[in-house]
Amino acid sequence: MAGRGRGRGGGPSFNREISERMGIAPGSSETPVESVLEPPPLFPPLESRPVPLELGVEGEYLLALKRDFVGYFHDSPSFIQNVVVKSDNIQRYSDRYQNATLSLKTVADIVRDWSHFPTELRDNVKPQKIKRKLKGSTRRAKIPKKTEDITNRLEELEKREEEGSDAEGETEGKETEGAKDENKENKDADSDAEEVEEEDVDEEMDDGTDYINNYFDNGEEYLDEEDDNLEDGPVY
Amino acid sequence: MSVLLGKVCSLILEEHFGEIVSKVGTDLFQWGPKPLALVASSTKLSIDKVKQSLCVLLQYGLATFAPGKSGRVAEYTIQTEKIFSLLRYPRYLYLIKSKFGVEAETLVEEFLRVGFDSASRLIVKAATRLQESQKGSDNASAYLSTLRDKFVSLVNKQFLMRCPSPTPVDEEKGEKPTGIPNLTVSKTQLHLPPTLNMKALTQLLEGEVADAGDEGVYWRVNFDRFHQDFRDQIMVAAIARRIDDNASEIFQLLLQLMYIRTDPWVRVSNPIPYSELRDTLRKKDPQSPILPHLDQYLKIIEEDSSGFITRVGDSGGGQFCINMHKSFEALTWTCIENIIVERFGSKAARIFRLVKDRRFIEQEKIQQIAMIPAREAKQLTYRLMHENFLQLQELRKTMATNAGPNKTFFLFHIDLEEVARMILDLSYKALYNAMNRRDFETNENRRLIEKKNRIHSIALSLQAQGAPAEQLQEIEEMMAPPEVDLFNKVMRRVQKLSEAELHLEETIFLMQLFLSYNMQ
Repeated sequence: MAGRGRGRGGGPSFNREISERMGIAPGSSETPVESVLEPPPLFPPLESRPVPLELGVEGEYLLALKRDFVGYFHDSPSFIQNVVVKSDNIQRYSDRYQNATLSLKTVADIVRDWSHFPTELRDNVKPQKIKRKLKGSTRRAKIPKKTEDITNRLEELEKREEEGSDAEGETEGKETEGAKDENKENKDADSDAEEVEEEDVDEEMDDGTDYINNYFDNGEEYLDEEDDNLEDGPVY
Repeated sequence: MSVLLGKVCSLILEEHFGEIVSKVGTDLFQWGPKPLALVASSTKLSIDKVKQSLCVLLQYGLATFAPGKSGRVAEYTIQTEKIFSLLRYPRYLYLIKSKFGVEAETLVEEFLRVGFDSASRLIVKAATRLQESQKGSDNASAYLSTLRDKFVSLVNKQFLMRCPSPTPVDEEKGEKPTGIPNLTVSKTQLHLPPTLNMKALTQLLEGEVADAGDEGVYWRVNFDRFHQDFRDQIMVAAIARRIDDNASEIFQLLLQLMYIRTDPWVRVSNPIPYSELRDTLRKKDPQSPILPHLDQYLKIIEEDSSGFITRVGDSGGGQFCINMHKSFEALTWTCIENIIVERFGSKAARIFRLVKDRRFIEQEKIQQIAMIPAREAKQLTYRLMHENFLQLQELRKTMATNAGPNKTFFLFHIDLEEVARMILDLSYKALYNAMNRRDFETNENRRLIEKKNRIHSIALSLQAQGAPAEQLQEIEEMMAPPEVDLFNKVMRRVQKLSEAELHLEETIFLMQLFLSYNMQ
């Protein structure tokens, strides 16, 4: 009965009418239950005994084969398990046997031909990741450089101002030239930074996986590229 | 695709490949095609584990990959049908064993164990295994030529097919290597048997390095072909049950003739002339007792209500079509009727058949025609409706929206596709429950089972060393009688649940087949 008349605003009279139409006497035990307030039982009672299963010789053979298969897969490298990292350094007797079985298993053993798989699945290859890391590190390195530029420049300007007040007329021409150069350099650096940023944005727009790429940083390349950049420092 | 299907798939994966692969598989099932990084982030597994899991799934063909929208990142898709076929592995092997013999069975088993591999390596592996299993013969190379012949015939019969291989990147055309291989195979090569160098095979068997001439060519099992055979078996068995063995033999021949001119998975086959059928039968066995009664048998099969074949023309003594779609509709009806008989009794089944026969019928008519007391008929009908075996259709006398129920007919009818889907879901659920229960039983008694296994292996090794019977007896007695009782009880339960899984799988196969024909 459940499900019939769902979503219709029929009152009790409507229900009774339907019951009458469908041949159920009002008030009898067959009238539909108004509402069920609890979920059906987890193990509903078995009303009729099911037919016993027939298993011939064929069935037994099939079961044996199935057991074989499951057993085989369990022992094969394709059965991937979590390697339990033990927090304590207690030597256990059972360790000797566990390590022996675990160390034999690597997925690489079952893979026949890597050329049939995307390269990213290979253990030691991660071409895309390295590329992204480069971009990320340049951006990170640029930002401190820029702030350094500004402070340097301010200091320099201050110095010049002091010098300039001493001998204004003589050096004016030179100073403006130098300032121009400075400006030029700075502009270049700025536009460089902008370009890099733009490129980065493009990269990220593709698949929006920026977070993940950064998130899975195994730390191998740490200080590789950045070191160089930092040591270079700003050039004037 | 239902939620239950996903649950069953993750259980199957867990049983075969462990928890981690199952987690990755479930994630792919829930979200559809996904790149590696996203799988890692949503499963919260380490990227290495996800990589390994995907390797396993790809190796066994349980998942596929394709370049995503940007073309640079591979996206992985799970193949639920293939996961289901993990359950059918024993049936595949049994089929091969009965059709091609033990050698072919070992060969296919090796294929199923590794997913895909080159012919030479697999043949060598199978030869070693055959030699181990039959200790009398110490020369494994004796098997090589038989195995090769079996391999070729399996490929010819399309039970094995060639794996698509990666096409090399064409740098000249400006294509860049993307890291995602483009796997293709031409249709002519798909079932073209390889030429294998026997001498090299023998060398490989002896552990030497040799080139058998099939470098980079891999083969895998063609599940569709197996399903086609299962389907034929179901039909032939149905005819044998309904008419007799002779009829089923004729039907088998008809199926064989059908494959000559028809694609195996169409709904209705192309016409098969009567004369051709008679000739084939005569060629097969000139003294066949069926031959004189061929006409009558065909007539009986044709006039049978299940409609397996129809006569479409009179030329050449008659032309017959096999109705795949119709036969599976009939089989599905029967299956559902049987389920109703077992669950609700034969009276409910009578009502179900009545509704099926009349298409649309009112409650009162059901009571009258089914000859069941009014009260019981009502109860049973509503029960069937409640369990979704019957559907209710309202038919209004007036077009007014607020017309009361007095002005409406309530007609019962059956939507077979819906019922079949319901049964399929029910089977998934039952399968899930059975597998879960089996896991629970084994986990609960893990200690006991391990102990039994240990004792068994000790006893075996002692026996091999020639220990006296008393000592063996002593070993056997290491398990207390109540423990033995408990062990046997658990084993019986596990056995029963596994049997149930086998049978459920057959129902699922039938329903899936019917639905796939309905979708065409």
